[in-house]
Amino acid sequence: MIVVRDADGNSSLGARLPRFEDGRLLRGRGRFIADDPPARCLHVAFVRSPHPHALIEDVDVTRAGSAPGVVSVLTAADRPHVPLVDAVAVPGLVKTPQPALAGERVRFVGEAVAMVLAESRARAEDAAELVEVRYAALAPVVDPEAALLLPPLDPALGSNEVYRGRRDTPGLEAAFAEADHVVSGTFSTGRLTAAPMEGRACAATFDPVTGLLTVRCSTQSPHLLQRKIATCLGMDLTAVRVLVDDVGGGFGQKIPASPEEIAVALAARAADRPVLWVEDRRENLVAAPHGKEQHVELALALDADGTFRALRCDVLGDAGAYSFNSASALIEAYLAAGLLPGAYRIPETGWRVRSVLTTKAPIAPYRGVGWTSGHTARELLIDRAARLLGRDPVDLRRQNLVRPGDLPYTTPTGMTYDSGSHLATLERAAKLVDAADVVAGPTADGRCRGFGISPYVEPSGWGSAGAAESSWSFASHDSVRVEMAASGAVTAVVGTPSQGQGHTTTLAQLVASVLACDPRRVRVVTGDTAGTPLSTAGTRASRVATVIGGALLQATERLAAKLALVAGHLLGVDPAEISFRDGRAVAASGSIGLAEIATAAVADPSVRAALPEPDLTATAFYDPPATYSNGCVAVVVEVDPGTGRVDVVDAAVVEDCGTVINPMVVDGQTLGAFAQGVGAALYEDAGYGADGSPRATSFADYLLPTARCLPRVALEHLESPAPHTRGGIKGMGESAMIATPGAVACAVAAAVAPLGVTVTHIPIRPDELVAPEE
Amino acid sequence: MKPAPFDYACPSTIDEALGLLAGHGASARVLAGGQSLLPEMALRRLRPDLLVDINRVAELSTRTTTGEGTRLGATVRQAAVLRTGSGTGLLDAALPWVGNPGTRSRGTVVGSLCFADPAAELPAVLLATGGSLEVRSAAGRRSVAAAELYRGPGRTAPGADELAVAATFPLDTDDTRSAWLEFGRRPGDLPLVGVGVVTRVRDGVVAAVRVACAGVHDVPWSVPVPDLGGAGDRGLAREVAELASRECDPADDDRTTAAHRRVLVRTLVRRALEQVLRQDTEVTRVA
Repeated sequence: MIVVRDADGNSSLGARLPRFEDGRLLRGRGRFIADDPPARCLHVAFVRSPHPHALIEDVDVTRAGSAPGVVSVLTAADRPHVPLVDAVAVPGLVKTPQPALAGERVRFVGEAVAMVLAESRARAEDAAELVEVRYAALAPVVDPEAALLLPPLDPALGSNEVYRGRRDTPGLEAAFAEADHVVSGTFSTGRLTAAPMEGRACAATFDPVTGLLTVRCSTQSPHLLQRKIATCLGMDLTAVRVLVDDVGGGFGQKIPASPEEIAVALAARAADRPVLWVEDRRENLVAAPHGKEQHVELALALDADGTFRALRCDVLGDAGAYSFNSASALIEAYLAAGLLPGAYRIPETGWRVRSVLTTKAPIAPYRGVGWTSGHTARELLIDRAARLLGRDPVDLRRQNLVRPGDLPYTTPTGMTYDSGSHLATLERAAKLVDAADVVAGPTADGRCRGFGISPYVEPSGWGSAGAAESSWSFASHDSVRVEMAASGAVTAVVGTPSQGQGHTTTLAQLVASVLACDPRRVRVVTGDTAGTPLSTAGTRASRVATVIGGALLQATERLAAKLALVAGHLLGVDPAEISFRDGRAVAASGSIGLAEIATAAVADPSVRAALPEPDLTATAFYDPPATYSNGCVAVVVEVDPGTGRVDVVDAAVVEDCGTVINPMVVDGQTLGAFAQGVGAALYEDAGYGADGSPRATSFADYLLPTARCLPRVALEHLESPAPHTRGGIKGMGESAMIATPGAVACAVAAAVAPLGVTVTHIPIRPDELVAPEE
Repeated sequence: MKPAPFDYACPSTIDEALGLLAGHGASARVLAGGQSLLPEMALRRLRPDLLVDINRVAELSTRTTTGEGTRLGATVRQAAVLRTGSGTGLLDAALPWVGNPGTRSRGTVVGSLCFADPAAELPAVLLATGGSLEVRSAAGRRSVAAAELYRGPGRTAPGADELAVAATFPLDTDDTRSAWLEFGRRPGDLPLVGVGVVTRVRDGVVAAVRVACAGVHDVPWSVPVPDLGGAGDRGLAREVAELASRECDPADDDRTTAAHRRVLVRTLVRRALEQVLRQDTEVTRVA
C-alpha cells in the first residue's frame, strides 16, 4: 500500500516542523561532557600502547606519579574488576573478555595500559609520557585471511577465529548447477570510524554518603552502560546512576561501554574527587571502536532471461582485537550475510560467515553495521552481471525486486518484509537522476560518467522480533512514561538519549498527535537511569521511532483515556463522547481545555468519582514486531582519468519508512547518512599498515567528506505504513548509509569499465582510477 | 592533544625577537599564523621550548611594492593577499587552494613558506616565480632565493638565529601568463601534487617556461625545462608534461603511490600549460 499523505494542518504527525533543539544547539547552548566538568574533578589521560601486539613486562609509574599536578597513576593491577564481555547469545560465538586497562598483553595500537589522574588534562598528558612500559613485541595480526594461521591474540582461545557458521538453503547447489549464468566476485569494505563531533567522554562521581556512583556519559545506551558498570565493578544496579545530556554524535560507536568508561568509574569509586575523561581526536581515531571491515565473496546464479536463482556468500569479518561488548564480532559479517538477498527475490541462498580477531581497534556498530558491506558487494555484483548479460542495470533490478504482490515476503535468510515500495522507489530514483541520459564513457572533456543505483531494505526498528529475524538473540524493548502537569503540559519520559536525531521534536509530535495538542506543549525528558523507564538497548538500530514511538502512542492513549474520564465528569457527558481537538477535550455539548482538566485532577476532589486515582500518568511497554523500511539511492559520478578524481554530480534518495513523523527530520537523517556513504565509498579509511600501525591518526589522514565533496541530493518520501507496528512507523536512520556506498561504487565502476578498470573495494582510491599510460 | 610544556614570548620589535631566537637556538619556534605549527604542537610532533610570537611586531605586517616585486611582511595573512591580489598572478592563482577560508584568515604567506611542507602550494609558487625570502639576524639582513631555500621536509636554509621578515614575489609583466593546478583528495587538503606554471609570451612567442611542483619530492621541484625551440602550443604542453613525468622521482607514501603522482604530474603540467597558452590564442611558436 502506498499512501501519499495529504497536508493535514490539524495533525502534528507528518508535520515538517523545525526541530525544537536546533536553536539551542546552533547557538552553542548544548551541554556536552566537556562543557560542564564537575567541580574539583581530576582529569584523565590514558597511556596507550604504541604496539599492535606485545606482552607487557613491566609498568613503572614512579616518575609519572611524582610529576607536577599528578594525583595518581593507575595500572591494571591497581583496580581489579570483572572484564567487559559481550552479551550476545549466538551459538558458536567465542567470548573475549576485555579489561579496562590491559594488564598482560596489548592487542592494538591505542589500547589503554595505564591512566593518569591530574589537575588538568595537559598535566595528565605530560605525566603520561613519563610512564615507563616495557613491552615484548609480538607479531601483529593485520591480514584477516592470515589471522587463522597466526598465534592467537588470546592464548586461552586457541584460535583467532571467534565465529564460523554455514547455512545453505536445501536447493542451493541445484540452483547453481541448473543456472544459465553464474557471476562471482570478491569485494571488500575498508575500516571506517564513526568520527562523532564529540568523542567519547564521561565524568564519574562517587558519593561515599549514599554509596551512589554517578556517571555522566556521552553514550547512546545509558541503561546498558549502567549494567556494564555495575557488573564490572561488582555493584548493584541501583548503586549506579548514568546521566546523559547532549551527545555529540554516536552513529553506533557509543552503544558499547568503552573500557575507558569502566576505568573512569573504577578510578572515581576509589577517589575522593570526581574523575573526568574527555577523549581527544587522536584517541577517538585509534582507540575508539571502528566499523565495517569485511571481505565478501559472492556468486549469483541467473537464468538466461536474467532471473536471479541463487546467491551465495562467504563473508569474512575483521573483528579487531576483541569481540566487542556491545554487539560482538558478529555485528559485521553475520549481519551482512543475514541481509544477503536485500530487496530482491532470490529463492536460494548460501551463507558462510567467519569472524576473526586481528590486532586492530575492535569493531563496534557503525551506522548501517554489517549491512553496508554486504549490500555494496551485492550491488556491484549485480552491475557486473548486467554488463555480462548486456542488460540495463535498472532493468535487471526491476525484474528481480520484490513486487507489491509478493508482500509479505520472506527471504531464505528468515526476514519477513512486512510492506514496502521496492519497485516504486527504484523507478522514482532512476527518474530523478535521469538515468536514461547518462551514457557511460568519456565526456567531451575526457571525463567518464557513470550511473549507479542501489535499492535497499533496512531491517529497522529492532525490537526483539526484528533482532531475532537477523538471527540475533537480543532483548530490545522499551518502557515509557507520559505525565500531564496541572498546567496541561505533557512530559514524555524515555530511556533513549538523542545524539542529534531530533527526538525532542519527533517524539513530542507523536504524543501531541494523540492529544491533538501543540507539540511544543510536550517536553521530552531522557538521560537519567534513575528517572527514566528502562530502555534495554538504547538509541541504536533505527529503533527509537518504532519502539519508543510505539510505546509513547500507547502510553498517551492511556493518558487520554484518563483525561476523557475527567473531562466527561466535568462536562457532564459520557467519556466515550469525548474527543480531543486543538488542545481541548470536546463533546457535543461543550469543550474544556487540557489545562483545566489537569488542574481539576489535582485540585477538585469530586474528580475522584470518575477517576479514583487521578494521577495523570501513564506507562507503556513495547517490543514491536519486525518491520523493514526500503528505498533506493541513485547517483551519477564523473571520473577524471587524468587524476583519478571522482565527483558525485547528481544524486537522489527515495525512501519509504512507513508513517513519516517529521519529513524534515527524515531529510536530515537521509542527507547525513548519504554524506557518510560518500565518505565510505570515496574518502574515509581507518586502515592499518602491514606493521599493524593505524594510518589515520588525525583528520588530516582520516578524510571525512566535506560539503564541497557532495552534490545536491533530491529527496522523496513514499509511505507504506508498517501493518504491524503501532502507528505504522518504521525506522530509517541507517538507510542511506546502507545503500549509498553501493550506489557510488556502482557508478564509479560503470564510469571506468570502458577503461578496463574494475572496482572491487571501497574506499575507492584515485590512484586506482587513473589511466596509467595515455 | 595538549602541547608539551613551552615558554611563550611576545616581542614587539624585530631586534627583541632576534635576541630571543639567538638565545634559544633551534629549540625556539616562531609563531606567525600558527595554522600548521599549533596543530603539530598539539600532536606533540613538534615540541619547541619557546614560542616567539611575532604578531605584535608592527613592522612585519607591512606590504610594499619594490623594484623587485611584491614584498609581504611575515605576518601578512593569506586572506589579505587573496582579497586584494598581489600583482603576482601565480600567487593569486594558488592562494584559493591554500587551506580554507578559516585557515587563510590567520595563516601567513611567509609562515607557509618557512614551514616547508613539501606538498604546500606557496613554496612551489615562490620557486616558479623566482621569488626570495628575506631573513634577519644579529649579523644583518640577507635574501635567500627560492631555489636555495629548501633543504627537506620542514627544513630551510636559514639558521636558527635568523628570522624570516618578508617574502618577495616578482611582479608580473604584461607578457606574464601563469596558472596553478593541483589535485588533492578533498577541496582544501594539501595536494598530492600541485603544479605552478609561469610563462612569458611576447609577440606570440613563448619566451620562457618555468614549472614548479609541490608534493612530488621532499622539497618543491623545479621542472628542468630545456630550450623547446620549434614546438607548437599544444605540442609544448604535452612535451613539457612528458618531460616532467619522466624526470620526477616521487615516492610511495600513505597518501598515494609514486605511480599516481607521476600521472598527476603529467596531467597537471599539461593542463596548466594548456590553460596558460589558451590565455594567448595567437601563440604558435616557441622561442
